[in-house]
Amino acid sequence: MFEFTKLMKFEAKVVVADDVLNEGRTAKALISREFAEKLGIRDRGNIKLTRGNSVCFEVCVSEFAEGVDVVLPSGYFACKLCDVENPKIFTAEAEKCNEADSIPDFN
Amino acid sequence: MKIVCTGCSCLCDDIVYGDTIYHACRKGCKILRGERNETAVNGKKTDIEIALNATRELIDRKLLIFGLDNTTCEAQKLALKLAKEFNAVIADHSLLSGGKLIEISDRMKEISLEKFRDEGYVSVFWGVNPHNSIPRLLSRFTYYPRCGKRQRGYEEDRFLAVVDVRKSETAKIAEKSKSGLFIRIERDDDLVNSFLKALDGKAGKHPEAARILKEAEKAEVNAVFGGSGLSSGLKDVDGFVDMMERTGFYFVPATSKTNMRGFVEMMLKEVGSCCYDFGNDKSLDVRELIKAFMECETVLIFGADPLRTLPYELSSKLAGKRIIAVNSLKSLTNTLNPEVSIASELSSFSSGTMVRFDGVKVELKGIESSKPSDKEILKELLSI
Repeated sequence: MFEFTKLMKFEAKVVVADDVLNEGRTAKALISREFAEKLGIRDRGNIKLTRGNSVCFEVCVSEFAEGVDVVLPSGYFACKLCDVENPKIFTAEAEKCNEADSIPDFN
Repeated sequence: MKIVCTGCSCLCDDIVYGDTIYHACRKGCKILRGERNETAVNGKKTDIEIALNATRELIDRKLLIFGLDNTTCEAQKLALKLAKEFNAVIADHSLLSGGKLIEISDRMKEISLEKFRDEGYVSVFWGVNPHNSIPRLLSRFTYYPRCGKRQRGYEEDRFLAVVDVRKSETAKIAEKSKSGLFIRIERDDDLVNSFLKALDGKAGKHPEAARILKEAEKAEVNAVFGGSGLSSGLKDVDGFVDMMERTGFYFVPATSKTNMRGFVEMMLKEVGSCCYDFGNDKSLDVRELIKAFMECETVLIFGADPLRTLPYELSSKLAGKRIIAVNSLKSLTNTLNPEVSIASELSSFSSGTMVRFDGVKVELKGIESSKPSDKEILKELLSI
């Protein structure tokens, strides 16, 4: 069946937090329950955040994202979305996606 | 062997290092057990002398020195000397996170963590989540310790207030505690206004401010710990300083970068700004720093991983530059195959001084090591 939620885009309030989730090779993010319901997404689902660059994250529905929509661990992926004027908090466009990004092998 | 942990700005001096590491938090363990860097030139492993010679050849033109937040004060001073000698730009992370709070901290009353541990009652964590960024701050110094005038434990003798845009782990502790309070804010200045109104007996947008002030009346020593959230969100600095003066609270800039305070204090004393271009003899703001990243030819990185810590609009400017990365641990920047990669000794095992975020100097004893410290590498580059 065609999923209409795949076409929907929402504005997400994003916060970059120190060390949350201990950023590994795969892009991960915390997402609030309300925002997960709005996007129609569950634990370990994937969302794409776009703000100039786009990054796909595997999400974990968490109470620690209450108050904002998405919490990103500080690191490579958060740095791709933030800018020098807004390094901690910004808005980005969010939509469902199929797979999370991984840190590329620069070698 | 007892060492000082340089995992965060708490600089815990009670770490026992051996086959097992005692007392360190997960952040400290991650660094002490982290995979060590290797010295290499153009991706090929080599010894330190060859790497230093290659570095000397590269640093002569349009140099930008970046990082230095994880190095000792002695190394920072030598880096400043190197920047002067080569007319380079020198910068750390302070323009992007927390530097503003260190700069304004001398306009407010400051307190050492030891004094706060013995006498402090209300601790307000504003835009900081020590559970993740300074993991032992609550247990060693602010909320949980029983000592000095605070012998009855956190439920009676401490009051924890957390100010954040989201419900962080520290906010959850405050919310669950009988002696705690979580204030969710959208704009930091709204809470500053609420405090100022509460002082005048009026109600502001955040009525919790009045409760904090009432709790603060129970003790003489109360403090605000401001983190990177406050640093990036606070617009009205004068209003904040006024609020701190009128409430009588002490201020502690709780930045998580290990020795950022040491770097900022040195730079303010020497050149009056935490980011300086010796080529044009002027201090730089964040936009000018981007331009400096674009215009430089060689980037000398000390103890930093720009790919993980700098916004893309800054780190992307590293492409095509001659990079010399001096790191004790393997970093993402090292995977870019910099021209020169130098493995330095961990700061925890180097001798020197670091400045804890409350302004207290902490002595690092150092151990004998086959790897050079940042200070020794800089001495070699300066030929002293």
